Amino acid sequence: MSMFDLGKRGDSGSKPQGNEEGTTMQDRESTSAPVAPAGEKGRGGAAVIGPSIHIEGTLRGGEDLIIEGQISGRVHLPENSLTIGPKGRLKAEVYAHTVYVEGTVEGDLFGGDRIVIRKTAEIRGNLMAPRVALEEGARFKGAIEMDAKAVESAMSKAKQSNAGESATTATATAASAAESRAAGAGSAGGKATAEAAGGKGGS
Amino acid sequence: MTMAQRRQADSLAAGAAVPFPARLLQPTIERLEQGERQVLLDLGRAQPGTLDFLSGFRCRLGIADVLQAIVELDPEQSAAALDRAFLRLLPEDNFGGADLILCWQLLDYIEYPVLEALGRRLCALLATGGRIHALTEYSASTMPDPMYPLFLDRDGAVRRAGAHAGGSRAAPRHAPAELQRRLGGLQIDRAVLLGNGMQEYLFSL
Repeated sequence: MSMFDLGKRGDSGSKPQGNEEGTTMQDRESTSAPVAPAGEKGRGGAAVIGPSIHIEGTLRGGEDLIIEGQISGRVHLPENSLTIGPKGRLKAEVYAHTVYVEGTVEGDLFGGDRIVIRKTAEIRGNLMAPRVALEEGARFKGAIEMDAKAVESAMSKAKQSNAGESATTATATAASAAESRAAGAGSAGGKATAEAAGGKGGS
Repeated sequence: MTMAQRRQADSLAAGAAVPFPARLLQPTIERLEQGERQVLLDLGRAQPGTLDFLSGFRCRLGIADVLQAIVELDPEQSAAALDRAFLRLLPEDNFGGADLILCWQLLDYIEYPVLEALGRRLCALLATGGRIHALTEYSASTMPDPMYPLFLDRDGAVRRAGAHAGGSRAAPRHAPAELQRRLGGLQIDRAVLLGNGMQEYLFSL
C-alpha cells in the first residue's frame, strides 16, 4: 500500500507538475505530484489535493489539508485540520484534529477536536469526536461517538499507529533509495516522497 | 383538559412550532450532566440542535433516520419479513446497546403488525436497564400528515423541525394499555399527559 507523507514533501525534491485527468497515484510511473505545488495553498494556507487526483493508500502529514480529489485507504492528520471539499470523495478511514466534510465519505471519521458536517456532505460511516456540528439541511445516518474519553483513546491509538508507520515508511524509503542507487536508476529525485515511500508498486 | 391546553393541542396537531419540555427525558439528561456515559438512539433524522445539545456529554448517539422507511413498510407482509426489514433498518452494530431510544410520533403512523415488529426490534436494541422514550398524540383528534417530525433542540426543548406544508389526518389516540400490549415485552414505566395534549411514555423491558 502506498504511503503519502505530506509533511515531508518539501524534502523530496519533487517538482510540481500539471494535474492530468484521472491520474492515479497507485501507478508508480505517474509523473503528477499528489498535492498542489508548494507555492499553491488552499483556504487558510492548507495544502490541496485537486479534483483530478486519485490516491490509493495511506495519506498522512503535518499540515492542514483540503481534499477535492479521490482517496481510497486511510488519512492520518492527527494534529491538523482536514477539509473534504465539495468535490472530494473518500473511501477511507480518516483521523484528523478537525474534520470538515462538504463532500462524500464512505468510512469512519475520527476528529480529535471536532467534526463539522456541511449540508452538501454525504457520509456513510460512523463519526467519533467530542464535538460534532451539523449544518442545517445536512443528512447523516449512523453512530456518533461523543464520549471524550473514547475519542481520546481512539486518537492515541491512531497516533501510535501513525508513528509506527512513519518508522516503517522511513525504513522503506531508505531501502527504496538504496535499491535505486544500487540499480543506478536514480529515480527518486524526480518523484514525490509519497511514491518513494510506497515501495515497489503501490498498494 | 383546559381550553388553553385543547387549543395548544390542536395548534400542535395542525403543525404549529410550539416547543415543550419532555419531562421524562430529564433523568437521562441529569445522568449526562453528572458525567455518566449514555448510549442514545434517535429513530428520527439528524438535527443540528440535537447534536449541539449532546456535544460535550459522554454519549454515543445513533441516528437511524428511519421514520419514513418504517411508515412505508407494508403491514400485510409476514411477521418474519417485517422482522428482516427491521434488522436491515436498525442494525445491531450501529444501534445496539441503547440506554435510551427516542421514538417520537412513529407509533401513531404505523399499523399494528409494523408496531409489533418495531417493538420486537427495539427490545433487541436496548441495553440492560435501557428505556424507550415515546411521544404520541393523545388529546388532539388530528395529527400532521405526513409526519411533521419533533426533535430535541439545543436548549433541551422539543420542537417541530422546519415548516409543515402538509395536511392532517385522524390521530389513532392509542390507549396506553393497547400500546403496551402491541409492543410485546415492553412495559410502561411512566406515562405523562403533556400540556400540549401529547402523551409522553417511558417503556422498559
